[in-house]
Amino acid sequence: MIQFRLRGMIATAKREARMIKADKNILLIIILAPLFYAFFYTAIYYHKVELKPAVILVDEDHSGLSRQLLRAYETSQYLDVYVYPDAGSAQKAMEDLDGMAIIRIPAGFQSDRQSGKRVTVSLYLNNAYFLVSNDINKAVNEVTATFGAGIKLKILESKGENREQALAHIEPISVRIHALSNPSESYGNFMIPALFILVLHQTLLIGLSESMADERATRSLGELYRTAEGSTWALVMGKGSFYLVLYCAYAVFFLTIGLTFFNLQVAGSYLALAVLTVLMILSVIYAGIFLASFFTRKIVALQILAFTTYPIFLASGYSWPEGSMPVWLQWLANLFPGTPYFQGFSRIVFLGADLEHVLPELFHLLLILALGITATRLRLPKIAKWQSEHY
Amino acid sequence: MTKKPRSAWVQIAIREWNRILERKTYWLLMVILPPVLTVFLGSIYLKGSVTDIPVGIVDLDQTPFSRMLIRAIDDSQALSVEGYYLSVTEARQALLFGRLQTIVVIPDGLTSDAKSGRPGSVTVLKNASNLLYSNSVTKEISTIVRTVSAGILVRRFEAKGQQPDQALASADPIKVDTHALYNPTYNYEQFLIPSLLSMVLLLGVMVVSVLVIADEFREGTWQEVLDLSGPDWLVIFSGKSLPHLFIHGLQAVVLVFFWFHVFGIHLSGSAAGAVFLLFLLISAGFFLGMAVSCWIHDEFLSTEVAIFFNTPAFIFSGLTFPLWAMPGLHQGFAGILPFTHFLRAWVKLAVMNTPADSWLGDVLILGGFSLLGIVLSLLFLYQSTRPGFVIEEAHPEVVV
Repeated sequence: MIQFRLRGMIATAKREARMIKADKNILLIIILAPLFYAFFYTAIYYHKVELKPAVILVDEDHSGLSRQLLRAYETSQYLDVYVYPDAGSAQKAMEDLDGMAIIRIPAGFQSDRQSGKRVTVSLYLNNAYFLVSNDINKAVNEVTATFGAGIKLKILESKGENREQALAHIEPISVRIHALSNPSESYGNFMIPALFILVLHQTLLIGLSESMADERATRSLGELYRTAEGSTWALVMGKGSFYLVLYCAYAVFFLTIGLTFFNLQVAGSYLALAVLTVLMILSVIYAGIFLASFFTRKIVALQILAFTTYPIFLASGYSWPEGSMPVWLQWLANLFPGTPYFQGFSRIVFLGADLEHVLPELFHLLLILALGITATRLRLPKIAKWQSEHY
Repeated sequence: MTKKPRSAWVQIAIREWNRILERKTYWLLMVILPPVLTVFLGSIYLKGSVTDIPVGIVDLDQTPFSRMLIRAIDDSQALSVEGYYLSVTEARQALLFGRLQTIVVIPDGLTSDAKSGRPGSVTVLKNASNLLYSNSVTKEISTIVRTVSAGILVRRFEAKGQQPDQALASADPIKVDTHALYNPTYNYEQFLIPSLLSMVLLLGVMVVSVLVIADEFREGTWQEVLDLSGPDWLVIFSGKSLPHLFIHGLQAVVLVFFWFHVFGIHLSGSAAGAVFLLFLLISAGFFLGMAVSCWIHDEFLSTEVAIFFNTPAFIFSGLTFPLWAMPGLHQGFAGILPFTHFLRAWVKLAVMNTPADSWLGDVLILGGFSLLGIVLSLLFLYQSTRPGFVIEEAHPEVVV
């Protein structure tokens, strides 16, 4: 029995290889697209960070103290400061998106400070682009706090403390923040590994679905079953084995050379990553074959599955926490192989997780795989039978 | 009385309308998929902001002061104390299992140091891979610790004889008064949903529009179109475009309705402005798609072109990662995508509600894409309607 299945599987795999070789559309999706997309999309984040966002500064005080503060902002490695003469021109510049925030040093800044008053610097953030505005907010607050610390130091010294005492008292309790992963806190480091995986996931799903949909369109499911010696397992594994080998090779390439190209590395266990990735690829193969069994033309598979890229990624919990989504959506998202994969993947790649730490995700993927196996076993014989009866 | 024959233009438009109604694929792409994706993607961000980020506490101080600090962390809407750990090693294990995102370590002697005037520090170990968590953690914990620290300093200045106001001015001499404009609550739904769904709408428009002419060649019905139209390339162009633009225009209205009434999106600009911009985007997508369809009669290849240009449009738009931070090649690619210009205009017109002179240029560029699509479509159609044009062999598969 096992021998028959293996023979059927090998025959199906050979047939699939011949079919792909003759089909330029599928070849484009599974050979050219993964390599091109993987590097073209990820290279968006080549600089990794947002460099220095443009910030507009209006100095209404024109005093020595305001100029000192201005210089402090200008010397920040996180800000690109442009000085505007008045609030009106600054607002116009922000409306034209020439700057993502306005810093306003009000008139009376120095005199108020000299008379011992607490002074205020206004920061107007363009939150329409709030990932950039977050960085500006952080940088402006840091620079201002450092500048304020200098003033505090002088106040403490004026109260009779020596420099050492004043330095010790300036901030009774401070906070030390250590990033356990992504030390530069760059958006690029976060997105690049995920994009590699997303490209793998989607080109596999679309390419395999096209191949399967083509079997339906050309009414060759009966012949496919005969090649697989009547076994659904041999059919799926035979058809899928070509993709499994190819996509495992892509995964190795992307997660080693690809990440190295962007100065990234896997912090955790390669074994855990390998097991998780193979299970994800297998789950996508079963999911792709099952989904494609509903498409009667190759192009429909492409048209529909092209829309799944964003939903699969955004619902996976990688960028937006799963717990913040409605419960029905969490249940639905948990049916996608990408959901447990991305969750385990991020902990392995960024935090250094080992196999034991991602066991829940591995079991989750196994469950999805079992669901895919059951669904294809129920679905494929039915449509093959229907085809043989009608054509 | 004999019925007046319909003009060729009306006949082509009615024929196209019937084609849309008869084909399951068109229904799926134009009627079913847009609302399904709208509900799916919109629901992801329904909560708007991230709350209850799981924090683990390693309290080595074990004093009323350290417990006050922990309560302040737990009281923050963004953070939630998920567990107490005896050591950092133990807490890091919880982080690796995905149960925590951040560990706060309160060192032994923090309270006594604070009382005796020695500086102390709270250590935060955070998972910075996800910037959403990372930024919130930094902001919240820094604010809490800075407030507590300023309180200690205020009391010290008061002990030195300063009045409370003076003491506060000495402890925190410069305050940053932050005004978060256009999305004051840092709401992800407001930030992402309109642009994300517009991109999905554009993808849908282009995937359909690349079939408008290519499908006629695949099904072997191009001669029928030529006969019905005259042949007249202008009649074919206008007759085929109108039903699609009508349906996509309705999609835009429904989409804006969803934003306002289902997802509660707040736009500073008017709904009419939003619909106008969406319609411009639809026109650009449709006419460019139609130009591809008139040029490449292989529906598979034309669909691949549409998907290649539109699937990455969102990440190339500059919304989540600014254009100026991308390499030159990518900035150039972003520039040839209509969505990039739509987004700039969208942010200015609908989100920021700026005067016309700031968004007019972006709107004109977007209109330029429509014009380019129209000119190219007409050029290719003219070629395909000329006498002597050889119609390729049809590949009539199952029509769905």
